[in-house]
Amino acid sequence: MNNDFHYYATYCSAYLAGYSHEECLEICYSAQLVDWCTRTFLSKLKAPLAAATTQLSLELMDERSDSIGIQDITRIWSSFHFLPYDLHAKKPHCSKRYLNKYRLICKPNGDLLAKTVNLAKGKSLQAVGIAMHVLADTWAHKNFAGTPSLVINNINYYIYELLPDDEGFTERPIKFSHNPSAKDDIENSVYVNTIYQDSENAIMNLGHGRAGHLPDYSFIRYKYLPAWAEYEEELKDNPSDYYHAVCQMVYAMKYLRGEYETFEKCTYDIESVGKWEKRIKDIIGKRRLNAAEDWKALGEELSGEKIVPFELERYHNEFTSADDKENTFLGKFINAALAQKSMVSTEIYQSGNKLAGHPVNPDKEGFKKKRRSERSGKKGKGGKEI
Amino acid sequence: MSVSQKIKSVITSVLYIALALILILKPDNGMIITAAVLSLALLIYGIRFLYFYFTLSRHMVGGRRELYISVILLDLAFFVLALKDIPQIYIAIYLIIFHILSGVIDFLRSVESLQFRAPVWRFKLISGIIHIIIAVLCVVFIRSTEILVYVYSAGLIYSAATRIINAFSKKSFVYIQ
Repeated sequence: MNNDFHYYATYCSAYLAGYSHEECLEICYSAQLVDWCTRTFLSKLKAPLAAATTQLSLELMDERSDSIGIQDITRIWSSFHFLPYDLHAKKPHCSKRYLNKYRLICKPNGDLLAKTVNLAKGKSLQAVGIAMHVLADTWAHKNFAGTPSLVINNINYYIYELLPDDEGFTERPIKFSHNPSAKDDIENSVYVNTIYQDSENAIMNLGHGRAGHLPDYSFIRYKYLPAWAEYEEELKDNPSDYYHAVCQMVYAMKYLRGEYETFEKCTYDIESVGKWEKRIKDIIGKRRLNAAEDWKALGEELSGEKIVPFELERYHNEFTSADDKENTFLGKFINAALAQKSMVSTEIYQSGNKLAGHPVNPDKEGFKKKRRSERSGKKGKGGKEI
Repeated sequence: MSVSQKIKSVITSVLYIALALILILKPDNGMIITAAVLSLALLIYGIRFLYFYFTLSRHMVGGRRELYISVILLDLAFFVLALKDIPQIYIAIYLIIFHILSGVIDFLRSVESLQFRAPVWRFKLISGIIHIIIAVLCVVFIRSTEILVYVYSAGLIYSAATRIINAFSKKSFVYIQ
């Protein structure tokens, strides 16, 4: 998903859930920040590096290719972008090595989604924003895993775009280019993806890299053979998935505001969104690379307020100049990110799956460790900033 | 390429160069050493692919390809090992076929890269031309063990150089969010 959805559509959903304009801005900023909070970003702030919610391409290129590196990648991408659906999934006649990867496949409405939403209950608006990012990505990124894996994430030549016409849909083969500087050509269905690498743990096989940005576009429908699905054809209907994501975000945020006692999986607030259904479906279904303008216009129409664009450095000064960093905007975001990463990595570890390594401990990796190290005047392991 | 992959590439390159130097200094036993090293490398690759197939890729769409590759590699490993007791002409033929195939693959990769507008096409084209030149030299000097060993050694040094260049060249790739 791009900034159009994580920022502007999250704003709209938060407003429909009953949050005020100011609260909506904090929620959608946090949801979008998940795609920007890298170790590079945190190191500039001298904040706990363990709170990283994503990785830059250069960070990924420098990542170790051994099990330690894979665990680091898996902790980040599984916790925030590819939430595993079923950590105890079964598939007959499979090795444990295969099952560990298979169980990290992301899908909506898994047990971990309920735990993610519940984790944000009674917490900061930043925690709500992070939970909404994770929730939305379970729809966009379904069928891919947040760990480098050829046998799970690969896509072969059998992939067709379904173009709506008067008689239903026309199929058009999708072509892939590997030139990272090229733009996706939606007119001719030529999209950029990562190059094929037959090494199982190559970074190119992380998440939906082999499918390029197809999962990130709300308008697209395509059918293909997921590498793990035993030659079963899968239809990915992004307009439907993205609409479900909006309805589920509204329901989840109403629960977080206290309108419902419990959060139930597979429940959507169709009623609140229904009034805007046609408008939202039009925005989602329009063929273009980014729908930010239309989502922004809808958000401003809903609240009657101006939505300022996302600006990465908006809260820098507040954080760097504060004595009590944990109570700043970014401090709350960092604590919420650590809690989410800790919850997901603990669940993966306790399921007997070592792909995410040992669980992240917020007490050891967060602000407390930073304070301890500042008191003792020491740096972290290997001389790195903590 | 990660730091550890770069280190692995450099170590492999150093081993290639060391082997090439041994072959140049002892060309008399060159063919036997060449066959043994090739056989061992193919054996290791074949076993790795076989392990990958049985533990992971047999559940993957198109994963049987890994099984075919492993069988071909293991077959080649035993074939090359068997060559050490027979006349050098067969090893020379093997070298010729190997370099022609590598050259053709590099040409195809070059064409593919060009279609994808990726800048590596020139590198692949040059690599393909060098493989074909080595194959031609093998044909020309097919009756001279010494020259064949030198040609093979040159090929090893070339492979080492390309690995080192690849390890230190900056490459961009698609960033997934």
